[in-house]
Order: sequence, then C-alpha cells, then structure tokens
Amino acid sequence: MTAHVAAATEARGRVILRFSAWAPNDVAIQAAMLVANAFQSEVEVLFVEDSQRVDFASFPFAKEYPMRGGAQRAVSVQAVKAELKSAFTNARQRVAAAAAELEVHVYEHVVRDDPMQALVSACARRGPWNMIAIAETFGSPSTFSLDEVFDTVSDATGVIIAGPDARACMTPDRVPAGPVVLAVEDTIHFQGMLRAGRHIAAALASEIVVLLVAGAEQELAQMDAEVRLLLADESNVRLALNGITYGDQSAAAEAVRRQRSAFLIAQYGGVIAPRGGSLRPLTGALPCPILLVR
Amino acid sequence: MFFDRLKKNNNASNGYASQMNAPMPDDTPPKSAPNHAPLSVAELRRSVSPASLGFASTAELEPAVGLIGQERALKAIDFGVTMDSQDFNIFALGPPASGKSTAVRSYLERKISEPATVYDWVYVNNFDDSNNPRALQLPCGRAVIFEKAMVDMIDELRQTLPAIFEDDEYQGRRRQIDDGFRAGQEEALEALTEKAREQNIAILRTPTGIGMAPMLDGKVVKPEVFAGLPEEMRKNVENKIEGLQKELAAILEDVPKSEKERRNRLQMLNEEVAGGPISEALDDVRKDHADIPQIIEYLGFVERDMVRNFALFFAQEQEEGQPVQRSVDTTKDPRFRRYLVNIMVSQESTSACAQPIVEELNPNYGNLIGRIEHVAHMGSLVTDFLLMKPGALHRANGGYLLVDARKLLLSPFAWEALKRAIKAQMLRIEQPEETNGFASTQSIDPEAIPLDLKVVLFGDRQLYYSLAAGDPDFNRLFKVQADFDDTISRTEDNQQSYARLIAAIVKRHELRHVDATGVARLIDEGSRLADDREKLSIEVGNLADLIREADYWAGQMGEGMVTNDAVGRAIEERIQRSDRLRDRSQEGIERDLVLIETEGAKVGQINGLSVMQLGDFAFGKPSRITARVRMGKGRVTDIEREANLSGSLHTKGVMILWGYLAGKFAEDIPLALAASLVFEQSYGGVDGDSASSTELYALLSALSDMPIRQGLAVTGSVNQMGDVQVIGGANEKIEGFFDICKSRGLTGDQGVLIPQGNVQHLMLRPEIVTAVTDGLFNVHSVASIDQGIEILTGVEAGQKDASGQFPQGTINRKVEDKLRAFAWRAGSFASGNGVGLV
Repeated sequence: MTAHVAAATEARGRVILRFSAWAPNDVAIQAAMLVANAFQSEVEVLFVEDSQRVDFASFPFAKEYPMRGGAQRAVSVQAVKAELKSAFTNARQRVAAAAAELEVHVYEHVVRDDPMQALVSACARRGPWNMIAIAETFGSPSTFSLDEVFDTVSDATGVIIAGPDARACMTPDRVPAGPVVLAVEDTIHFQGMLRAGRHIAAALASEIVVLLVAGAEQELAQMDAEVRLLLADESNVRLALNGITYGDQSAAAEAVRRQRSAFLIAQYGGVIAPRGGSLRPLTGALPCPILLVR
Repeated sequence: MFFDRLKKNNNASNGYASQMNAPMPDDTPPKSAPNHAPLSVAELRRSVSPASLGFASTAELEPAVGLIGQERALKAIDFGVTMDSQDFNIFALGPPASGKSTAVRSYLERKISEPATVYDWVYVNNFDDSNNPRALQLPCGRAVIFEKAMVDMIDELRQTLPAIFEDDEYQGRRRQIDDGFRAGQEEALEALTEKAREQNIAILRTPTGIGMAPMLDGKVVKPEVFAGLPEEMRKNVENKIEGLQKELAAILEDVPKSEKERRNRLQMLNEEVAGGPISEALDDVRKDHADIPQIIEYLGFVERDMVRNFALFFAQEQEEGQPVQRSVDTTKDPRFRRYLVNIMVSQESTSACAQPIVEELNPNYGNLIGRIEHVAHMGSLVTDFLLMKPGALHRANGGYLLVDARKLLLSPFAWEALKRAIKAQMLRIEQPEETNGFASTQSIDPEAIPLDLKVVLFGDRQLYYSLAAGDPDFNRLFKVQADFDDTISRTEDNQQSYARLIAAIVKRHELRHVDATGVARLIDEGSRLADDREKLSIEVGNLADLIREADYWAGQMGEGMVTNDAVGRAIEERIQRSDRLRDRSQEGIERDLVLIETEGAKVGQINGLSVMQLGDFAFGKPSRITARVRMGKGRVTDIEREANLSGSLHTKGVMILWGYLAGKFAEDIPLALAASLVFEQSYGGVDGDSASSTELYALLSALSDMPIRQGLAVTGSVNQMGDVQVIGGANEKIEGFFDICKSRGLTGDQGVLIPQGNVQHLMLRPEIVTAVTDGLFNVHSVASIDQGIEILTGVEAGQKDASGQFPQGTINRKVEDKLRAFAWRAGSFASGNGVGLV
C-alpha cells in the first residue's frame, strides 16, 4: 500500500498528530510537520482527554503510585483535568513553533474520548489518505499498541513514531541529520515507500538510502536485482550494499542504525516492526523518527 | 638700677669711665682703609687648555665603559649582587640623572652572562579545589612546550572520544544496560497487568505514575455504573485493587535502586570506554615530560578528571533559539579551560635561559605582584586560574628587579607587598583588598611560588634616609647602599676620564664627535655644574643632555664636529629658554621699579645678593638691605621675621649679628640698641644666612655713620667672631649683580664681595672674566667683617690697642662710641627722665 498523505488541496487526508497527557516528543512533532510539508498537506492536532483517566480519577479509592517509587497519592478529577489542560497548553506552544518553522497549516481539536476511538474518528472525518503521528515518545508506557492502531484505524496509510533516543531530522538551518532510509523487506511495498521517501528526502534535501532486508541470501539477491531495475533512473537514491539477511529484529535494527538516518521508512508487520512484537529494539536503537507503512 | 651699680663701680682706672657720664662723639676724620686687592683673573674661572688634553677629538678616544668616579657605589653593587642572601638587597642612592640605573643595568648585564638556573612557572587547575590553583615549576623554556602539548592532547580527544562513543560496540553495550533495566521493570509490570486483567482490574499508566481501576470488556468501568453495583461487589473490587496495589508498591520500591544500579553500570561503562583513549592521549604528553615529576603527577589528576567528565568532549546540545556553540579553538572553548595551562614565566626556548633583569617602570601593586582578573558572568564576577596575570616579581624571579623607589612608595600597597614577598621568599598573588581585610567577591587563592631574586631600588638620598629612619623593615631588607656621588675631583687624570665619558655619550647617542675645544668647554662646564672649580659633575644625565644639545647646534651651524662654539651656544640657548623670570627681574631693576643703586655711597644701605632657583635654572638677584638704628633695649628687629617672611636659618643669622655686636662692642656696657633690618621690596620670603654679613655691614654703617659703596654687592654668612663664612650659589650671585651693572654701564668701581672660602667654587662666565681683565669689574674675597667693611667704606676697621680701645677714626671706634652713647642715654632715661624705652 502507498504511504501517502493527501495534499491540502485534495481535502482527502491530513497528518493527524495525536497528543495525550504524556510529555510530547519534539522529534515526533517535527517529523509530523516534516511529512506534512513534504506532501504539501496539513496537520490536524488532536488533544485527547483520555476518558478512562477521568473515570479512574472519579473513583473514591483512586490512587496513583509514582513510577520512581515513593508514597502513593490521591487523585482527583480536578487534578487530572488541570494536568491535561497544562499538558495541552505546553503542546500547543511546541506545535506552533514547529509549524512555523516548516510553514505548515495546523488545525486543532480537543476531544474527550478513548484515545483509539479519537484517532478513528479523526481519520474517518477527512480520510482516507491520512497519516497518524504519535506525539509522545514511543516506548514510554502509553495506552495503545501499534497493532491496535493499524487494526482499528483504516483511514491511515502509516504511523509516525519517535523513540526515546530520537534526534531531530534536521537543524534549524535545514541541515539534514542524515539520509532518508527505506528498510525494504519486499518489493511490493518498495514503490510506495520510495514515493514517500522521495517526498521526505526532498523536504530534507537529503539523499535516499535503500536497505534491503531479507530472510535468506537468495531472497536478498532477487530483491537486489529487482530494486536495481526500479532504481535505474534515480540519481538521488543509493542502494546500501550488503543488505541484511537475518530474520532477527535486533540485527535488522542495528543495520538500519548504522546508516545514521535522519528518517526511516519501514514496513509494519515485517521483520523490523513485527506485528504483535515489541518495537523497543527499533526505537531504542534508532536516533531518528520512523514512518511505519501498512 | 643697673646704671646705678655702674656708677658705684666707676673707677678712674677704667679708660671709658669718664665717658659713661657723657660720651663724646668721635669727630676724628675717618682713617683710610688699607688696599685690598681683588681676585685675580685666574681665580675667577678654571679653564683647561684644549691643547693640553692630548687629542684632537673624541674620535681618537676609547669611550669609557660604565661610569667614572663611582667606585664606591659600583663596589657596593658588586657586593650586593654577589652576596647570596635574600636580605642584602640594594638601594642605589644619589641625585637624579647620576646614571644609577644605567650603571646597575650595565653591571648586571655583564654578570648574567655567567651560567645560572632559571625556571619557567605555570599555573594549572587544582581538580580537588579549583579555588587553589597549583603552581608547577618547569625547566627553563619548557612551559610553552607543555602548554601546547596539553592543547594538542585536548584537540585529539575532541576527535577521538565522540567517535568512540558513537561506535557500535559502545552503543550496543549501553543499550544492553538500558534494556536490561527497563526489561526488568517492564516485565514485572506486564505480569502484574496480566494478573490484574484476569481480575478485571485495569492498570493505567499516567505521566506521573500508575493507577488501578475496575474494568469491564477491556474498558474502565464508569463511576456511575460502579456506584450502582451492590456493595459487596464493590467491596470485593476494592479489596482486589488494594491487594494489587501492594504488589505494585513492592515493584516500584525497587525502581530507585535499579535506577541507581543502572547509572552506576553506565558510569563504569563510560569510564572504561573513555579511559583508554584518554590514557593514550596523555601518555604522549607524559613521554615528552617524563623528566618533570610535577607534570607527571599533575597528568594523573588530569586523567582522573577527564575520565569522570568525558562528556565535555561531546558537542554541546544546542539550546532552542541559540546559535550553535561549538568553538573551533580549544583555548577559547569554556569546556576545556580546566585542562589548559596558564604560563606565568617562560623563556623563549630551552637555550635562552639567562637570568632575567626586569625594570618595572610602573611599580603599582598589580604590576609587581600580579593580578587576578575577573569577568562578569550573569551579573556576578567570576575568575579562575587562567585569569591570573604575572607581575614583575614573577618575571624577575631568579634574577634581578629594578624599581624606582619613589614611584614604588607612591603606589598604594606596593611597598608593603614587595617587603612581604622578600621576607617570606614566596610570591603569592593576592587581591589587595583581601590582603588588607576588605570584603571581596570570592576569588582564588593560588599556590605561592618560591621567590629568589635581588631587588635594586633607585632613589635620592633624602628618600633613602627617610626610609632608613622611618621603616624598620627597610634596614633589614636593603642592607646595601650604593651611594652614587655627584662629583669627582678635577685632576688631570679625571679630566682625561671625563673626556672618555664624553666619548661614550657621543657613541651611545650617535652624535657628532666633539673636538678638543668642545671637550675643554664641557670639562669647564662640568665644574660649573659641580659649582666647584676643583670638582667635575658626574651627573651623567645632565652632561649627556648638554652634549646632545651642542650636537644639535653644531648641526644648525653647519659644523661637522661639536666645538667650543657649539657648546657655548647650547649653554646660552639653554639659559635663554629658562631665564624669562630673570629678565623680568632685571627689567624691574633697570626701570627702577625695584630700587638698586650701583653708584655712590649710602649710610645703612647695602646691596645684598640671593639666588632664585626655578626648576633646573638658578640666577642671582641683588636686593637692597637697609638698617636703621636708635637707642633701645638691645634688640635687633628682623623685619622679615616679624612679617613672617623669613625662615629659621635667616633668623639664626640675624641673632648671630646681635651676638657679634654685643661681644665686640658691649662687653661692659648694656647694649641699648634698637636696630631694624629689612630686605627692601622683598615680598616673597627669605631664608638662609648667606646675607648675614651683608646685614651686619649695613648695621655697622648705620652705627658708624659711614656710607657704603653702592657699586658693590655682598654675600656671605658671618659668625659671632666676625669671620665671613662660605655660602652657596656664589657664581650665580656674582653674575646676577654683574648683569645689572653691565646694563647700566660698567664703571670699574663695581664688584662683589664673597667669602674667601668660596673662591674655590668660582667658575664665572667668560664674559665676566673678560670684564675683570679689562678692569671694568672686580670680585673681592673677604675673610672677616673688618676686611669687608674696609672694602665697602674705604675706612679702616680698627683693632683694639693695648688699652683695649679701638683707634679713633676707625669704623669700630665709631660703632663703639655710638653704642656707648646709646647706653648712657638709656641710663639717664632709666634714672628718671621719663620716656619708656622700646
């Protein structure tokens, strides 16, 4: 499937940037703006007041235990609401700064809903060419799983995440941190990823590196030949030599890391981002935002 | 009553007894004085013949090396420098321009050619206490090498360390630690979450912690729904939640411990990874400085600190909105200041290790001791070891420090600081406000450096003696006085040496050579500067200035050499530049604004002479001195003193007059005299006793009614015995009166009386010598008042005969008679004739 976001003029999709009460990740925000800019699209910012959190706070026995240990504390609805309000105010400022930097138009919505349902609704409103961006750091104990996102939200072509060690794609003076890397596991997804890669590489003014990931040598060789044919006329694309033949997620993640990418486009449900598996090896290894495509 | 007693004792055996009743005036015509020849021409100026010098010009002479005539001082300097003791510092005393500084420097420069041990000194960071920077002593010439080595080492690590920490191996090991930490915690929480799910309890993660709530179909139960449940069910849920919360608490209790463990392991990993390259980089520095144990020890501290702070070598995180702060120059990067080296003293190379000779021209506190500078940072003043600056004592350490004493004493705290350093034999940079107990911002306290040097102070004699008398430390620390004389004897040999000194000056200043006539004139001028025909001034500065000016005028006159004419011109021009006030003074006399007579004779009036000193120019000025006498109580009124226009020396001189009069003329009679003396038209104050003989002559004239020749001027002090004593400025005084007489036309009867003792000082202008030769002017020397009064009045002074009487017709007889008459009249008034005496 093509990883695509509708342009603003098409009115068929946006980058949906979802905020919750969790501290936002500036790299994720920048990545969302970058993708919107690359596709000449817009960003819809979704501030989700998790209804479950509010409900939790309503119970008389509601207590909160600090993650770093220490005494428990009572929780109140007012406190939760105040916390959410503060978080969203902070997020707004960051969004405004990032949007101004990349000249992206932003729309805002505040909803009280289940986080997943909020995404579904937002994507369905504009769809089908949306891309979801998760504003908080992926890998922190957030309240959703990627499986759930891909299974539940049908009007999105991909999800953008940023791990705890992610660095900005580029400096304030638009110097890219590295190439756009396409981690290709099969040629079916390659064309779509390449199109998305072209957009993003153009926005970053960097090159594209194609890294082939296969389970066996023969498979790798075949993919190599096909990809080379497809890349014959591409001057800004480089095929990484010695593609990875292991089926191991960590090894693949390590191979990607060595490319020192500014942005990674990978296939969801493959070796690198397995369905039902943990993404920690990927997000922990990569210092760049990741776009996972269907 | 006194006079009654006298009457009772009045016996006929006393020759004056009959006179006490009615003293008779001496009507005898004055007896002419014997002839007193004036001074001969040869006695007025000593000139050396150019031909007698034995050379044609200074081109033939070997220039003098160093000074001449300063054997005492040079020997003292040699002793002081050679004496290996910190308290035998030197004070070179003498008049300004006597060449003290040049002589000392010249001597030291010859001495430092001998091998000596000198060191470089640097300050480095003290990693245990940054407020106490460490001092390192390095062999001569090694400081610059060490400093560069440290900078190069840091530059190398700036490249290698970041690369190592971005290396796959490090990243993998670090992730292993992080993942291990997270995995342990996450697994426990996931297990608890699963357990809770089985009990329909949801575990919610929040930004600030974890909570639990009842769940149904994967969603948190609405509070209103829960409230609608039976109480037993609700209680059951709450109990489950409570149990799970206890388990959760137990899991979370371990988090801080785990986190600490994670940090420790990360730290160990970082130190292990960083340690290798750091040690390797430092090994290069160690290898090059293996012979300096202090550096090896210091590098150990550096290594430890670098490993601990390896993160300094990574590029700084860019702050939002701030420009990229990545310095290319290591020495300007604030991150690495702690590893840099502050060179305080260094030699250019290891082969240029001579003992330093440092002359500090501005010896204020900071320039001497060094200073600690501060920079403003976010509203406060901060400093570190790199902001320390060396002083002259640092630069002179191991050698010699030359300082002008007066400038040193005028600089606040500087003298005390210098003494402190010499006494302690340690050099410590301190803020003066800290040293003196004033409050200060927090500063640094650097390690003291051992001090080994000799200090040479330069100053005049007055300053030296003031310090010796008033500062006990001075005598303890400056035990060697190098006393520079200002004159040498004018012997044949010294005249030759003087000529060589002139040659040396010519060479040093690259002037035209001086021919024999010019040298002869300069030698004569040397005596004039010394104010003594038997001496030559060796104030080299003044001599050098005169030669340079003569060279200039020689050039103006188109001469290839400096001749007598050029020297004469230089002298005239120099005087002309300075004598504006003399001209005004003379003009005042010529225009009779100031009354000075140069012809005729007057009773009780005489021309006195004084010297006006204006900077480095002095000139003589005549003043009219008058005396009035009458009967009184034996008091000589010094009008200058009464008007607070005279100093104590002048007062002393006037009192001596009284003693002379009383002793000579009133041994057995009361001195019933009231006399007043004044410097007419003098409003600026007088001091000194050089006019006391002049005043006495005026008094004698007034008492004897014998007029004094107004064509003569007089200078000289007198004692109670009537001896005329030496005074200063004889040349200027004679020249001053000569100029007045010359402006009115010399008559041949004009001249000056000077004390006989001053003849040896005469170095009059050639013009005066010519006038005397032509019989138009005279200079007399006198040894006694009697001799002087005879010249001034032309009347014999008179000596007591066997009967104790002064001969009639003599000055002394007339004076005595007048005084006796006063005494008799005073007695008759006292016995009841009414009017009180003053």
